[in-house]
Amino acid sequence: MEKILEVKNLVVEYPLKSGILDFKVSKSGISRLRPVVHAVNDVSFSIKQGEVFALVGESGCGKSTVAKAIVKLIDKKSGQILFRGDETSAENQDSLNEFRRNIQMIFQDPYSSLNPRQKVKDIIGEPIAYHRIRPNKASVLQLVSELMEKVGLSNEMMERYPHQFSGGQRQRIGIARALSMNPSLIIADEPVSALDVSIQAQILNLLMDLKDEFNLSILMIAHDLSVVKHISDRIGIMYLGKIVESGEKDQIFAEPKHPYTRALFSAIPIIEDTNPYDPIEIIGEVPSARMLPSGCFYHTRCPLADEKCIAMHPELVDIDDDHFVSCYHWQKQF
Amino acid sequence: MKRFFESEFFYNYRKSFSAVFGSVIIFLALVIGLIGPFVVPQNPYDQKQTDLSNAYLPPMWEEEGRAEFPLGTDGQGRDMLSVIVYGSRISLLIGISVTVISCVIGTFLGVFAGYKGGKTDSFIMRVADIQLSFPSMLIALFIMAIFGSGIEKLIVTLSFVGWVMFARTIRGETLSVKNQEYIQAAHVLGYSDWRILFRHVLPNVTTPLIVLFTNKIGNVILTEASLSFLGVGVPVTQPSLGLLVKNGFDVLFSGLWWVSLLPGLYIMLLVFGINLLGDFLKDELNPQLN
Repeated sequence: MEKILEVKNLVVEYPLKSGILDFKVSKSGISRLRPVVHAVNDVSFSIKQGEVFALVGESGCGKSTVAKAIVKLIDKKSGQILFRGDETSAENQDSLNEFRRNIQMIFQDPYSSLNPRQKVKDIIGEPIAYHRIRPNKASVLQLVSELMEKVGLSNEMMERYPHQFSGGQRQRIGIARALSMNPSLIIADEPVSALDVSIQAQILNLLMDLKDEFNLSILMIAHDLSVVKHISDRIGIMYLGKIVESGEKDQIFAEPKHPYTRALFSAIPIIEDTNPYDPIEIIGEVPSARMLPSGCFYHTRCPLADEKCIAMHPELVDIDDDHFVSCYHWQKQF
Repeated sequence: MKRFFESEFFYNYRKSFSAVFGSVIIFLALVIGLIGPFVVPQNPYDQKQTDLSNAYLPPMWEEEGRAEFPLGTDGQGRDMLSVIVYGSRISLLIGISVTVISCVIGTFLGVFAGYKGGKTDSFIMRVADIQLSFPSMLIALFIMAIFGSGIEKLIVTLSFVGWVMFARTIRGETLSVKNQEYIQAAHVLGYSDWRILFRHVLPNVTTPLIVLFTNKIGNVILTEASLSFLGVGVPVTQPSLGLLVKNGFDVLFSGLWWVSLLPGLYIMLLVFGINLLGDFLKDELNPQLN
């Protein structure tokens, strides 16, 4: 299948404010320290046409940063982001506009992702009019009302402001806004984590329906494994800005190989022992992204770690038909 | 409109004596400023209507007062009531126009600085800091001393020193709005920077403006009065309330108190009314604003 998005060796760093006294004295002289947060360290993955790829990981592991780097909300330090095989530079306005129309985003917090001073018809209609997707006002409104119907909102709501809606309805407006550009790839940054559990399923089902109807591919950022299991085709598990394991969802859920993945899955909340994984407790805390550990980033907490893990970082290796693991000891049990 | 009258804001307004009292004063002052000249007995700056032999008549309730000059007369035989009405027009004109201009300039610079960030932000805000570190009276005094008096010069000068408050507040608001997801969404949707600035950031940072605006008018009227009192404000041919105070000041200690004190009282009343309303708005709309 055609790859719609390919991310190669993406690195994103956030510079920290360096104070006037942040310098280092060494034999070669005085040099200024430029502290950075290593948010994303060499991440590669690809999304195929029509597939749902989920990036999973705990808070602060850099999964949202990956999403924001893809839509160019933040600058990457190095690496490539290829959409249908081409890299879009921010300088060329035409190709950037083309890129924007093809890749849209659904945001995490429906309470802050809609402009409180715009009516719904303007929130959804503005991109249509701005990018001249429809030629005149009447046809813009026509499309707005079609989109609202598609996401399950009635037409009378057009004249309302965001504060008059519930969280679930707001997220539907956000989805309609993303769809207004008729994109081929949607990046959903934790689209349901701010919603009530009862609403989460509705929104996820809506997304899946729209995916089929509009022939979308979806990059889903999530920390909720039950959500991921429900909707994704393939998943990538991130730890400290790196993908430690990726592959088909069924394969990974059946046989998680990386020690971190195994620990993560064993932490899925359970109802009367339905969690098939043995409980594994992760010791310690996530290391700071300002000073990354040597070798494998997980070695500080991993029960299988040895000298090799401390010295060198394991490559992502294909262990079984598109199932990648970045661990020297994936075959070992513990 | 109906929603406004049923709102909590309006309810609190009705319940607040000081807010209603303040708005009544402001309303009366505006009415007096607008239609006063057609009602008062004379145009004090038309020499055919004044008579030097009527100079320094006390208000009508004093022994020598006359009913045709209810608040007495000044040294040129002008009716004090008419003089104050004419003067209040000029004070209000300066107060309102300076506030409008500073508000527009300050809001634009503030939202631009906050949105752009980086060097632009540092530059605009350092200029603002420098301005704040001088007393604005002093800057205005310098500029007016160099360029001479005149209403339009005074308006330009006071606007030049007045934008800082607006810019700082609006920049602060912009910084918090800038990181909202709807601004990120606007970027992802491919809107131009100017569109995001004017359509998405600006409408969401204007709440503090009404509070700043009200307080600023009172402030400007006072500054203008001080400058005029010091003799670098409005020209003598178009006296504002501040200049009237100054004109009467020379004879204040000769027992001719009304020439100076009455315009002074009017300034006090006007600014008092504006501040009452301003304080109510501040408490009601933006409690964290100081």
